[in-house]
Amino acid sequence: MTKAKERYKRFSKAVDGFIINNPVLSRGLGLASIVVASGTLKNAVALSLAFFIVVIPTLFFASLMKDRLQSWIRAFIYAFVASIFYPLAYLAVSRLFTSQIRIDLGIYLPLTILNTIIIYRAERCAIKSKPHIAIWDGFLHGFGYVFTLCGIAVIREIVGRGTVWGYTLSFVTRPISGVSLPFFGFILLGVLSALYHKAAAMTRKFVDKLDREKVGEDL
Amino acid sequence: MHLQRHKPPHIRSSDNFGIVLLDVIVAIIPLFVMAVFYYGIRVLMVGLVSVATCVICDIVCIKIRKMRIRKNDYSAIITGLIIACLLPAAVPYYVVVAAGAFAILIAKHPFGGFGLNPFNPSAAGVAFVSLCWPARAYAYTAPFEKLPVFGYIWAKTVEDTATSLKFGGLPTHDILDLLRGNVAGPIGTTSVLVILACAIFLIVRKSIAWQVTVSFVGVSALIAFIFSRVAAERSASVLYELCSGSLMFGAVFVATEPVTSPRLKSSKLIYGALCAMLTFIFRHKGAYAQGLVFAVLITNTFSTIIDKKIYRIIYLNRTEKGWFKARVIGIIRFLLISIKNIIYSVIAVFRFFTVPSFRRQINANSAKIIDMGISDSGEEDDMYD
Repeated sequence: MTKAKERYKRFSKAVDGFIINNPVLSRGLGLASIVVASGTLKNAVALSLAFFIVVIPTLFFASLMKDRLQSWIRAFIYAFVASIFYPLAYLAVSRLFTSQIRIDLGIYLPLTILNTIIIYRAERCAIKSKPHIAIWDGFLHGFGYVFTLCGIAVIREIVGRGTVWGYTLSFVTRPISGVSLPFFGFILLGVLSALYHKAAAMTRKFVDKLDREKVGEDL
Repeated sequence: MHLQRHKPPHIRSSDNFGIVLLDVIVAIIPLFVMAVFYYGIRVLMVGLVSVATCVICDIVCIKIRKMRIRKNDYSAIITGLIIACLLPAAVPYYVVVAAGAFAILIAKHPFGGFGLNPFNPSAAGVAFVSLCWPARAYAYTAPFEKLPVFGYIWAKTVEDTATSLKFGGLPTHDILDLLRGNVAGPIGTTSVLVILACAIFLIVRKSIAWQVTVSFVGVSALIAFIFSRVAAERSASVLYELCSGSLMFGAVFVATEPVTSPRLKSSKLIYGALCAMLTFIFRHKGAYAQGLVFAVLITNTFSTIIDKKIYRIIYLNRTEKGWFKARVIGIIRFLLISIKNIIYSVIAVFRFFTVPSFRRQINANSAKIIDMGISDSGEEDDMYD
């Protein structure tokens, strides 16, 4: 293998889940919360907080448990462990944010317990590796999820309401209210995902091209 | 044997799909003539802006996708005309532009362009603007009101028939006025008699499928007769429901689009009936007075499923005994198979909790499925895993 490809491989392993292999944009995980609950930035940040409080300890437990149990019962155990940490997340959200945010999030706050990212990362990484690696992996994928969530929320809040974090922006004169409805979340996520895949393909092509040029020099 | 593959619409009546599309354009022109008679020149400007937006977006998308522009592809023009017909005459131009751009840029080309779009582009565009600017997209003015070509019209809006039906009122219009279109409503949808004439023209020319239109209007009339919202005779309810909103226009021009409707004749009947039912659910329970565009969008998702089921029912049970018997046998077999499936699934759940060997097998299978779902199968993974 040539040098650029190797370097790219190392880099992508270091940030796997955050930039490359983003759980939302490349695999469509955690769709429901992204589509519905990302109307405003405050909602997105509250949901991200709850996400981290629930997901990181669950992955830690998964790495301790390893594959001692059968595959079909493991998913239930993950949900059970996550539900133990849910009250903490609920308390954090209700203390740090207003009650309106909790009402806005609705069912999507407790649904972090049954997050698809938990099962995806636990089955793929946590049960095969040591606890610190599992937690690091959870943080990387969690940040990938959270940045997508907050990015979409900022776009939708600016276009849909003309505000960011509740502060009105003067340059948005005519907000389009439909953008903060769930259907536009689907469309926006689809467009962003398409752009993401295009960028990934272009990066891969670029790395290949670098390698080919290097090979030519060597010869 | 060499089979030729072609994109839909599959048209047998004429050699050229451009002729079918031209027929639809010809059929929409009388509606615009009536609208100019009632609302003035502004209607033509709305139509022009809509068509121009759609055509420009279409050409841009085709150029981006590096395809060639087909000579007889008038689909973007039809999309623009239908969008203009479904909006009120007093609508601001930016709403029209938004509807056209959404229809082409998001509902049509990302899914593969003409012939491959799963959702009706014009319905998607109108649905988008009616969700984003409901106050503008449902602001109707009375006929024979002088509308300025440029500038906003706010104060002159009146209640249309669909809205007054929604809030339990009785439309006070004359029957002739309702049929002629002398009531407030969207640009191209009020003059019911002209729409019926266009429908006959299109059906005789075989440009649209009569199955969709007939079942749509028939089931609508039936529902309006049974679930009457008007405090008068049931026949009056049927008349008001059919003539209000964009129901007749949708039955002739929107739901019959050959790309998004099913291919088989029997499934077209079911498709129209489903569309009518959803329209009335939206009218009775929805937030807005009209639900046609949303109903069409939802029914579009069912069209392939209906086609598959009908194909199984009719063509796989085809016997030499004749047309009617094959259908009856097919439906009976379909019902029996669905009952069998339900019983089998109940037995499977029961066995899962009682028989250990069965559970072991399911565990093995689920482990396999989970491995398959999470294993590296994507293209990107080859690089760094």
